[in-house]
Amino acid sequence: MSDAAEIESRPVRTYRRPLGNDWWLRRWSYFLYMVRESTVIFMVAWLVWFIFQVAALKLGRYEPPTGEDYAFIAFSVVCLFFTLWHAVTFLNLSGLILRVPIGDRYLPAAAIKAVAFGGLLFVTIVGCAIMIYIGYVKL
Amino acid sequence: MPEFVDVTIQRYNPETDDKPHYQTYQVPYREDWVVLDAILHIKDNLDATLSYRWSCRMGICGSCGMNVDGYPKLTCSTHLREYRQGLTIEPLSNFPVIRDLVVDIEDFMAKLKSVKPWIIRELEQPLGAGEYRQSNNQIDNFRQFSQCINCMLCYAACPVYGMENEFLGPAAIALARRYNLDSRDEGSEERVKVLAASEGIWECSFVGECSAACPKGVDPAKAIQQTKFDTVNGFVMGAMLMPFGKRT
Amino acid sequence: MAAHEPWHRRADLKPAYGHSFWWFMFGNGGGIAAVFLPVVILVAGVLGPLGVKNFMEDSRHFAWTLSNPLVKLFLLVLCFLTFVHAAHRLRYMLFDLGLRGSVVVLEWACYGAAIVGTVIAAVLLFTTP
Repeated sequence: MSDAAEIESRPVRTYRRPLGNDWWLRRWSYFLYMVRESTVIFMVAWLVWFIFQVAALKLGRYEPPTGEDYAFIAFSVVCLFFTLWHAVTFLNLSGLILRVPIGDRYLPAAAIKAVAFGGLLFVTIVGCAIMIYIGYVKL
Repeated sequence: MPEFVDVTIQRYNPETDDKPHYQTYQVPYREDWVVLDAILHIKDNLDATLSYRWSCRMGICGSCGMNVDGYPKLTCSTHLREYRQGLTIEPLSNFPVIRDLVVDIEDFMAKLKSVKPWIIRELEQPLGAGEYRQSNNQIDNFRQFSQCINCMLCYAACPVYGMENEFLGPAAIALARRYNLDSRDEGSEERVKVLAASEGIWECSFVGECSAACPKGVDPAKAIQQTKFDTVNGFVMGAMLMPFGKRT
Repeated sequence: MAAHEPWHRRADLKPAYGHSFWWFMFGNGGGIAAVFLPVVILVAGVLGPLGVKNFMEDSRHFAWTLSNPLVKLFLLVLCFLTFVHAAHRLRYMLFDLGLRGSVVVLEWACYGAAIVGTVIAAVLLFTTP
């Protein structure tokens, strides 16, 4: 066999380097990604609490949380914090993904983001107003 | 100003080694050197057995991608002055190592080919009809995604590719989109089955590290999310309007 | 995952409509949840206990609010979309953390839990007078 043929016939032993399950601990940006992903756990947790309240209402055992329920208030603050983290990271992407054609150009990403965050602000203000107003309705 | 910099390089010789080991070299410090200059100095003056890829040395060929202190970079575009206290160079993450700093890129090559990164038309325009005309706005639609130099830093940065090697990957999807968005191209339908396959765009969970690592500002993460959106739109429109033709 | 032929020679590539559907739900769910959930938590979870009157401040007000069919629908949609969004993210998070094995089981578990949660919410909301 010629030298070239002999070299060609040798098996190639490439070395594989597996990533490992702790990859997200190795860079700050990876860690922030994991935090962003885990925000949904807090959103679901709070909604599960809410559904439990609906169930309690049905069973005639509903008790509204008071100012002394420190654990619940802390829980809600944490959930609200992560829900807002989710909202900001998610709505930031709206400008990236949604393409609104205008002629043969597209609406700038900043405009779409402004609408998205404007919507969040609007819903928050109007929603607060409505939900608080209901509390004052004489029943 | 240090006289020398410690450059630690991951070495691997498949004929003699079971696994890689590290070797440190003292490289003269020059204010204007890039990491590639240090590697070239090592090969020319200190250790001729070192293997690596490089070519243009100006950030356009995409050959010299390596991990510098654990992060994928083009070594020709990374300055030595940022690493005065020393640095570690390893082969690009998530690719099998052939030898020293040379990785096996066949996987990427196959994926790139699979998305058909060329203009696909049902019928070529006859020469007499003249050139294909495109406005600047039409070119702007895909210009960013055409900047890709196939350097694979995005694959090295992507943890999904690292965990699941079957993933089609950022550059391949960005280049597919570059052609899907080109007004001369009619190949969106053909590319859908590759892009929208199980290990295609749907594997991506938008970590976004591909775009952070990209040296040319291609923003493959944006390309992938837009492709997901357009693909789903295409399916919905196709279901409602079939069998009318549609562009994805 | 099973090893495949190199991508350019694979003959088995076809669009994954299942993935597309769940991504579509995830995208919409994320948008709705992002816009509508914060205010609900703010009012009912933070301002309410701190003394601000709101729709959940006693059984009468809570029941009156829930008696409105539009409210029931809004809450059900909010729950459904948030659960599906979360299921999709959780599924990928588990991948990211290294959980391999049978992908199909994982999908069923995540999306199944979302559906079950939605059904429970629906039953509770729509059988409350």
